[in-house]
Formats: sequence, C-alpha cells, structure tokens
Amino acid sequence: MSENPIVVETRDLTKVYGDGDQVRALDGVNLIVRRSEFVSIVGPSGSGKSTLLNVLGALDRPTRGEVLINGTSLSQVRDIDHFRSRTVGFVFQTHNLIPTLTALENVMVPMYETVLHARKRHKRARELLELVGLEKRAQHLPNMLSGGERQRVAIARALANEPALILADEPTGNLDTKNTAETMKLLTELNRTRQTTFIIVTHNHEVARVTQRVITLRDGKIQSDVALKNEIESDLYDLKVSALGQAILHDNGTPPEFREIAPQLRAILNKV
Amino acid sequence: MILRNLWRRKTRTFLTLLGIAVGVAAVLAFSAFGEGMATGFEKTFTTSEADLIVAQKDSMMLLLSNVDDTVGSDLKKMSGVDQVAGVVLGFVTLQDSPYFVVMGHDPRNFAIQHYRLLEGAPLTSKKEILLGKTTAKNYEKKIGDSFRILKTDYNVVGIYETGVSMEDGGAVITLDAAQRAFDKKKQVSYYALKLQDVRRSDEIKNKIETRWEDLTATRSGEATTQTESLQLYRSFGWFLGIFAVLVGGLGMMNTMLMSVLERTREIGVLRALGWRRRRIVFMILGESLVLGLIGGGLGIALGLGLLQLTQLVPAVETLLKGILTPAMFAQALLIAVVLGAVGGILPALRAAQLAPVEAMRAEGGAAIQMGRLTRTLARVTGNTPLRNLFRRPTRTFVTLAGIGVGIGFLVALLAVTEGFTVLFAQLGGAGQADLIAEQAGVSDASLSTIDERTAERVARHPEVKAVSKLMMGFSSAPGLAYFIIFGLDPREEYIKHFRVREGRLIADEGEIMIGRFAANALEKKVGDTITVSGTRYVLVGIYENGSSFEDGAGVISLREAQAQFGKPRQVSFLSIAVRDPTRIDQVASQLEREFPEIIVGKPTEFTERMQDMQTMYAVLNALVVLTLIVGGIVMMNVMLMSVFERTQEIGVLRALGWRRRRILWNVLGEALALSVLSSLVGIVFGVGIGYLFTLAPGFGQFLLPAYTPAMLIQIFLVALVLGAIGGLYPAWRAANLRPIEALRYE
Repeated sequence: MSENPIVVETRDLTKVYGDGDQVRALDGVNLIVRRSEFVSIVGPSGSGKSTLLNVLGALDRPTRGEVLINGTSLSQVRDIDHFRSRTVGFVFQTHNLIPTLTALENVMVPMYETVLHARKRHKRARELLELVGLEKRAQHLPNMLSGGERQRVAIARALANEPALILADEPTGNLDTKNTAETMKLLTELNRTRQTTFIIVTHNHEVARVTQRVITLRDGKIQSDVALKNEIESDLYDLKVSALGQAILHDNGTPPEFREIAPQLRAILNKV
Repeated sequence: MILRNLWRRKTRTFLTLLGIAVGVAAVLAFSAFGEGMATGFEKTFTTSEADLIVAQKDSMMLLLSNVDDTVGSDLKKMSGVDQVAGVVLGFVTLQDSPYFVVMGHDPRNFAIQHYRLLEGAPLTSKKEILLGKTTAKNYEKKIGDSFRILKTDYNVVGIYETGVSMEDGGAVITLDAAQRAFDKKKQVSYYALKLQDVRRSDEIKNKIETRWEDLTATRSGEATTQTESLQLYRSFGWFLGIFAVLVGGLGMMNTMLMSVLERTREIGVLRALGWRRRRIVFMILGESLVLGLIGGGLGIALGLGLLQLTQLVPAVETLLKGILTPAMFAQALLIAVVLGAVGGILPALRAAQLAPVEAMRAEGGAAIQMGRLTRTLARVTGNTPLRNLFRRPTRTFVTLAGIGVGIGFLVALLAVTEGFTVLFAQLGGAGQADLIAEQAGVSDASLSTIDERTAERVARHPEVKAVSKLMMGFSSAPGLAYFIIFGLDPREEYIKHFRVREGRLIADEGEIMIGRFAANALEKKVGDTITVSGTRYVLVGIYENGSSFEDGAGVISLREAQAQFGKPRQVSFLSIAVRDPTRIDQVASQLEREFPEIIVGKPTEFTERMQDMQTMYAVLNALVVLTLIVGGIVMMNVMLMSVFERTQEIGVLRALGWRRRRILWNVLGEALALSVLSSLVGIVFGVGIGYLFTLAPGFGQFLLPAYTPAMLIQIFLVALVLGAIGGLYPAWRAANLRPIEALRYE
C-alpha cells in the first residue's frame, strides 16, 4: 500500500474559529492518505471531523498549514471551484440531491463545468447509475426514491468527474441498518475495483470497522491512527475504543473481573 | 408576536413594504393630480366674482364653449342682472407647458378684479399682457419684458396672483386680443354675470335657459358643465388603486404564502399546543394587515415626497398642482388595508387547514411536493431555470398573475393609445388623403382651428390635387358622454368616406347623419329629429364605417358645424390629396414652410406630433416606469425567497464544483423566464382589459385597442428589464453564498 502515490497530505493543519473565544477546530494535523486507501475519521462531536473534511475538500480555508491534493497545494490553486469539481467528490449526510432534477440529471450536475458535450455527460451519468445499480431509476425524481437509493445516486454523483478523492460526511447518518450495510458494501466495492480513495466521517463504529484505516480525532488533534488488516483486528480496535477498552488501557475503573488479565489485555490493545 | 414574525425576514418584509408603498404613493400622487386638475378647472371659472356663468349648452368643457357676443348686451338688459363680462378662454402650447391657459378679459369689467396684481399696472391696451405669478417665475419675465403667444408679442405690464394654480400658471390679455388670437370674432367662451340680488339666481338662470335654448347658466361654485370630464380625472386615482390592489395584493399573497410555508412546522406546534384554527387565521391575517398598514403609511410619505418633487418641474407645477384632501389619505389607507386583506386571507386559510401532526413532520426549506402535472411539465422543460419555477407552483402562479396584471394594464393602455392613433389616421386618411393638417401650437386636437382662406390657399398649391375641409367638435347627448360632431362640405370628396347603410348622405343644411353606434345609443332612426346644442336636425342617414370613433359620431354640413361651434369660416383639419404620391414628404414640408400656422403630416405619423398624444405618451411612460419599479420589487422578493429556501442546494452545487458565474446565470435565468412568462400572461390579460374598455358605456366606443409588433417588443423589453432588475441582486447574493455556510443552512 505504501508504494501508492500520495493523494492527500496535510502539514500542520490548523483551523481557528471566532475572534475572541477562539475555538481550535483543527490543531496541527499532519496526515498522509495514499491512493486507494479507505479511511474513516471518528471522534466525538466537536472534535473537528467535519472541519477537516471541509478543509480537505477546499470548501474552507485553513488558518494555518497546508493541504496538498495530488501534490498540489490548495493555496496555490487559482480556480478552486474547477479544481474541486475535477479532484474531489462529495457525499453528504442528507443526500442533498436537487429535488427538481431526476436521478440521471443529478448525476450530471457536477459535469456541467467539466464535460462540455451534453451527450457525453448523459452517457457517463448512465454508466455511473449502472455502477450503483440504479439504471432503472434514472428518470425518477429524488422524492420517488428510497433513502438508500438516494444515497446511491449521491455516490454516483460524487464519482461523476472521476475524482482522486471522495469525501463523505456521515454518508449513512440517515439510513437504517440494512441500507447502511448496502451503502458501505457499495463504497468498499468501488474502493476495491476503481482504486478510488475514500475519506469518510462517521459516528458509527460498524461503519468505521469496514474501512482499512481509522483516524480518531479529539479536540482537533489526531488521537490515534490505526490500520485494520482483518476482522479480528477490527474487533480488537472496537474493544480498544470501547468504554471497557479505555478503562483497561488507562487502568481507571477497570471492572473487578478483568483486573487479573488487565496487563495482558493492555499489552494487546496497545499494539492495535 | 405578529411584528416579531415580520421581523424574521427583514429583507422580504422590507421589499414587500416597498412594493406596497410605491403602489400607494402612485395612487396618492395621481389622485392629487387628478383632484388638482379638476379643482383647477372648476376654480378658474367659479371663484371669480361672478354669480352666474353662461356658456354654450352641451359643450363638454368651457374651453370648447362659444357664445355670440350679441348675447352679452341682451343679458345685460335682463332684469336683475347687474353686470356682464364676456370672457375668452384658450389653451396654447408653450415650451415646457403643453397646456398654457390664456384668458381674455375686458379691462373695464368687474371680472378682471379677480386677478390681484402683485406688481405693475392693469391692462389698458390689446398689446399688453398680465402674467400669473408662476408664469413670471418659470419664464423669468418681469414688467417691461415681452411675452409671445401664438406668434404675437405682448408687453408684460403686470403680475398677478389668484391662488388657483391654473390661473397663476397662465396669462391674461384683453378680450379683443384674445378674440383675435383664438379666432373668436364677435364671440366669447362664456359670460360671467353679476346679479343685483344673488337670491334671484335660480330665477334668472331659468329665464336665460328658456330664452336661449343653446345656452346654459350655472351658479358659481356649483358643479359646472365639465363635471363629466372632470370625473374622469378623479376616477384616475381609483383606477390606479385597483391596479395597485391587484399587483400589490398578489405580491403580498406571495409573501404570506412563503411565510406560512416555511413556518409549517411551527404552525403545527401551535395547533398541537391548543391554538384554534381561528387564532392561526388571525395571526397570519394580522401580519399581512400590519404589512399593508405600514406599507400604506410609507406610501403616503413617499407620495407626498413625490408631489414635492414634481412641483419643481415648471410644466407640471402650473397645471397639475396636486391637491390633497383627507378623503385621498383615506383612499390610500383603504387600498393598503384591502391589499393586506386580499393578500393575507388565502395564506391564512391555508395555514389554518394544516393538520397539526403532518405540519410538525414537514421539513422546512427545501421540502417540495410535486404534483403529477408539475412533474410532467418539469419533464418537458428539461434541466433549465424554468424547472425551478415548478417547485412552487402557487408562488409562480401568483407572481405570474401579479406581474401579468401590471403588464396587462400597460398592454391595454398602449393598445388604446395605438388605437387612437390608428383611428385618427383612418379619419384623416379617408377620401384619399395623403396628408392632414392641423393648427400649429394648439394643445388639443379638438381646439385646432384653421382659417378657410388658408384652406383655399393650400388648395391652390401646384402640388395639391384636392383639399377637403373638416370640422370636428364635441357635444354630449343622453346616452353619449362624448358625441363627436363632424362638419363636412357635402360637395367635397371626404363625404364619400361615410358608408351609409340606411337612408342617404347629407346633402343640405338641416340634415344630419349619424353612425350606427350613435344611432343605437340615442335610439334614433332615419326620419327622426336630433337636437345638437339647441339646433334641430333631421336624421337622413345612418352609416357604418367600422371605426368606432366615427360610428359614435354625427355628421352635419360644414356651414352649420361652423355656426354650431362658433367658428365661422374656420375648420379643424384639412385632408389633403397630393398630385404625385411619391413626393408626399416634400409637399408636407413645403406646405409647412409656406403656411407656418399649420402642421402637416401623413395620417399615420400625424398623431405623434399632436400635443395631446404626446401628453398621453408621457403618462404611458410614467406607467412603464411604475410597472418596472413595482414589478421589479415583486420579482426581487420572489427570487430572494427562492434563493433563500434553496440555500443548502446552492451550497451543494458549489461543493460539486459549480462556479459563481453558473449560479448567477441560473438564478438570473429563472427571473428572466418568470418575467417573460409574466409578459405572456400580461398580454393575454391586457387584450382582455382592452376588450372590456370598449364595452365601457359612454366613451367605450372611442377606445379601440390596436396591437402592433413594436408594442409587443416594447412589452417584452419591459418584462426583461423587470426580470433583470428583480433577478440581479438575488442572483448576486446566491453566487456569493459561502459553500460551507450554505451547506450548514437549514
């Protein structure tokens, strides 16, 4: 994996909100994401997850530090809108489809600036809908689609310009368990077959464990950055971030029945 | 709570208020002008020291009245009459003042005391002139200067003030000079009578009217003969009021509908908390009434400011001194309240109909419901700005209706004006006329007088084949507020223009033929007699020319018409046939050079040069500007709402890489599409109003709307400018939304 080229690199990324009572949403984040990685960012509310995503997606500017996408520093890009439409795709929590446009037209939206031939736009949008398994729903308006279908349209839309990177903010936040599983399956598949890099922000550990790498943010800083190679490791990771795991790791309130094996567990969890 | 609700959307509330205010201000200003015009007319003739005014019967305005000056000495001999003063009244066109009033008074007479001299001396000779205070100021004249009216120079000897704006903006010359200037030899416009005993005025009035069948006597201060036409001026304010209520009410409805829609969930909560439907209705209705009242208040302030401003323009100041009456303020406020009620009732009922549970579940902002029809339509239009208009069908519909009404009124007025032009062209163009001539420098076509000798000299011009003399005058008859009388020489070409359906053409004096429309209105048939201003005529024929202007009129012989309207050996227009049709333009300019007292033009172009048409065009331009302002505000409001509720969506589009420019064009395109659609609605509506105009009793037959491609282009231009005005700011605002803030927006 390490031989893949770097897609995202941040250097000392800092974002401060407010003038008087300053809030450090991001505090010196250094991060490297390589091509075809599937990264999830977790952390409590207000830990800076969304801010990081916005800054990576060039929707927001950092107060300090730099973001390089495919080796280009965002501060050097003149036409940021154009750059964004070519290199970054977005999936939002609430699908955010344009309600007046059909599924097909929604997928075509990002291509207006990049693909000049209407027929080409149309063709590619069809292919993308096929990819997410919605070719039969192309002429439907968003309010005629189910929540899961809408999110799949949104994913097709994010893929429209074949971006190097897709950023997803709580992509499963509004979905039920079944649709969440399906959506994650689709994302994993796309990641595997198309080598697309995904960075998703999530609250859901079920979702996070599907990804290969989990970055935990706390108070704007990277608290942990864990690569998960298999299911056992994922489970261990889950244990590590759980209340029980934290209690054992910090030897603070460890339940009596675990006291005996606590040192061994701590050693295992520390390796994860 | 109501005020706080309005405060939530400051821009929208402000724009709505502005829209109402402009409408109310326009109503107020126009009413004030109409009132000023009406009282100006009335006061000019009623506040002089006279007890009775004796004028020609059935003449529409004192201005058109003619009384033989032999009547004067007879009047004086009547018992109870103390003094008699003959007065000549005329309008001329001066630079910056299309309707300049000139009065001719005998310097020795009592009526001239009405003009209180501020400086200088009274009139003594016919070379002298007194100027009103406003005239002196506007034309920068002082005692000793000369003042030119209808190609005669007068020496300014005095400056007066009467307090009546039309008089202070006019001038007074001697009766002799006025009779000469206005071609009223041995005639006056009316007589002012001073009685020995005012209590006998009724008795004397009856005596006069019995003795002279063609005269009418009116008490000073009483409604004068011109009441009917003055009523028109007064009704103008109401007419605009309806316009304002329609346009403004629809704009208001839009605002309130939006407000209800975005508060759906909140209304659900209120209902769940036990609010009755009635309370919800009162809340929404209250909001719109408050909007209406505040807007009305602002409008009154704006109207007053507007009146102050117009007083700075000399031409307007003299003639249209705005007069404000308490009734007018009441009218303005009433309009504002009606506006609030009209605009609020539907949204209020809609809010009250919401079922609490569903309302609470509703999403604010981007939630839309597309009906099947809308979906189908949306599919047809494709991915264009048009599609966005289908999101809120009600709002789009209300906006279309509102702007459509505005543009519709404009279409109707333009068409009627155009219709006048066409009618006039038909009128002069009949009898193979290549050119028509009118007196130069008169303010109104009905005041044009050309000497018959001029007509003869024109006829002798080598390039002229034939000249027909045409006299036109206004009278009124029961059932016809404006009964136009044409005087024609039965032996000249022009008479062949009248296509008789029943009976025959007039051949001699004592005969009259009338149009089909007039025949129906007067309920006359061939063989009956018709009395016009005291003279009896035998009806010999009924014609149908297809021109409403003519079909509502009557035709008598030229000689009798001249006598009837007190213009012996004079005509109103000349209809000229040219020998070489290719040289029409050259002949016209040659004639104008040789005869400076007339203007000559092709029938089609002629009306544009007529002063009264120019006045009409000025009014139309004012209405165009008004439509642009009000429509632009409505449009801006709608587009701002549209941008506002789509904030999140715009954020998504920006995040997906759309540039500012694309967003800008998208919103602007939507505004332009809306305005073009509105103009289509407007055109349909306008054609409808135009048709209704023609049905109006009394004068409807003269309003024949005509539609030209140029007019349609003009309308579309107005609509596009309106769309641009209304769309630019919202579009700019949309384009400058910051993506993450927009995304975060709920």
